[in-house]
Amino acid sequence: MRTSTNKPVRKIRLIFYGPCGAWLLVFFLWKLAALRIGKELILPAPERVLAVLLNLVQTPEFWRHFFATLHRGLVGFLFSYFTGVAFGLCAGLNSHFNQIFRPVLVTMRSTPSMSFILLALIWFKSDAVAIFVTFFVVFPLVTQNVLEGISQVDPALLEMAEIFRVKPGRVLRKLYLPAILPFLAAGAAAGLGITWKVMIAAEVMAVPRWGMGTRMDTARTFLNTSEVFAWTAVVVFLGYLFDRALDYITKHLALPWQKS
Amino acid sequence: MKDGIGENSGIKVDTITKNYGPLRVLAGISMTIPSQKIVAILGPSACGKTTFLSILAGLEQPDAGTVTGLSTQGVGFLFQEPRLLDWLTVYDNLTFVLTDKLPQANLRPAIEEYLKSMDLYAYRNYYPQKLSGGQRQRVAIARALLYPSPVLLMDEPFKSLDLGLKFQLIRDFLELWSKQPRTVICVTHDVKEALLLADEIYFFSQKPTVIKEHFIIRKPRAERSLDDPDLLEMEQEMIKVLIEENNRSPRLL
Repeated sequence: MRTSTNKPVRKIRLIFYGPCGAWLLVFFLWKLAALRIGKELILPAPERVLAVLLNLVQTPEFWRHFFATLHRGLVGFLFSYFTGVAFGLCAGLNSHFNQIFRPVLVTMRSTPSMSFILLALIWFKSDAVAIFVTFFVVFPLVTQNVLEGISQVDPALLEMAEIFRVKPGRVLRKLYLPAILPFLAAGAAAGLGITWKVMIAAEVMAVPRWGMGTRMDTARTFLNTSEVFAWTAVVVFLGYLFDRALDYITKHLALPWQKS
Repeated sequence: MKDGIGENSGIKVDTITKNYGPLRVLAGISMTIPSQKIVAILGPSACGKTTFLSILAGLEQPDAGTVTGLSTQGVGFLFQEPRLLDWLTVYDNLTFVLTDKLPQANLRPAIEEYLKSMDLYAYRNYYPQKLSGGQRQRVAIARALLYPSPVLLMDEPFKSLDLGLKFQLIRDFLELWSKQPRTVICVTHDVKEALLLADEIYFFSQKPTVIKEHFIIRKPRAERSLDDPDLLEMEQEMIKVLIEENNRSPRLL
């Protein structure tokens, strides 16, 4: 029999068995490892990283670095995403375009990210390096998702549209795009996830004036491991926020027929 | 309402052949389908009935032979499955096909009239996944009959329904069709269905497919029932032909 006296017990269980429990375990193991090593230079304790982070967020520079990376990341991601969707649609709907485009896509996917970074360092100013690199990493990922989505569109529905002579524009808007929406969402999630990783790597190499990667590189130069950890935590949190936002948009706004 | 549906002199199919590699599917099909009549095509499984329908729909080209009398504005089509878009409501599924096929001012009233006739008006804002199998097929019937073409092709449209629902839907279909008759070519494997629906029945042979038999049903549709002795006799005769053809193995070219 369920009674109200069970509620506090269930809450405690949720804390220990839910995501909070996982985080507590990570911090606990981290703390144990830090105590065992005993050197802040190698592995700072979690409370030390937290203290550094709290100090950082109170400085105006932190926010300039934060927003510079956020801005660069969003510009790079959105540009790569929409270009990827457009090229993916063209390649998925036109076999001639696909034949020409596929080798380019394979080359982009197979090229190491570091090659793009090194080339971008030679070709561009440091501010543009991260956006350029993000494009070359995210674009093929998104395009691949769109191509996969188009190949999964039910041919029976396409045949129906063909027999009823539905105009191509409406077939694209009302049939193809909603049908590939789960693939567009998966592409966005994967693309956003990788954007922040590539962005930081590119900023560390290019060292633009403002950017979290620049601060991480500076912290590394001064052997300030706690600050490297603190900036890493900010990047992880940023990635987590966007992941949750995208999940909400996908589930609640973009796929209403699945919700009903 | 006569949106875009004109009178015509029927469809003439003249010696159509179709091969898939070494396999001869259609080996010279000829028939004349009178305007505003329902013609059923019966035959053994995989004898080329659907290929014949695809040629009439313009999805495939025959290797030889001609089809005349088909509308340039396309044909209405009722598939075996409803083929609705899961992400569009019932109403939007209809507008997906019918926008710019019906006059803009007439679109909503026409759709609403058909939805009411099919007992679907209350479900117009539902997504297809929330409807039963029978309701989904009713939406497909409304879509096919609203499509402004003098010709409607049907590919085993009642196959996936249970017996009671099947005969209910056939009645509903005939009621709507009689308000605005058009030429119907219906492929089916069900003799009873063909006897209730059709004015004429063509029997296709095993591959290479030719017309094996041609039946004309003169009894008015309203007077037909499944226990009618005349229809039962015809049914027995058709089942005999069907078994005979099923027992014959298909031959290559």
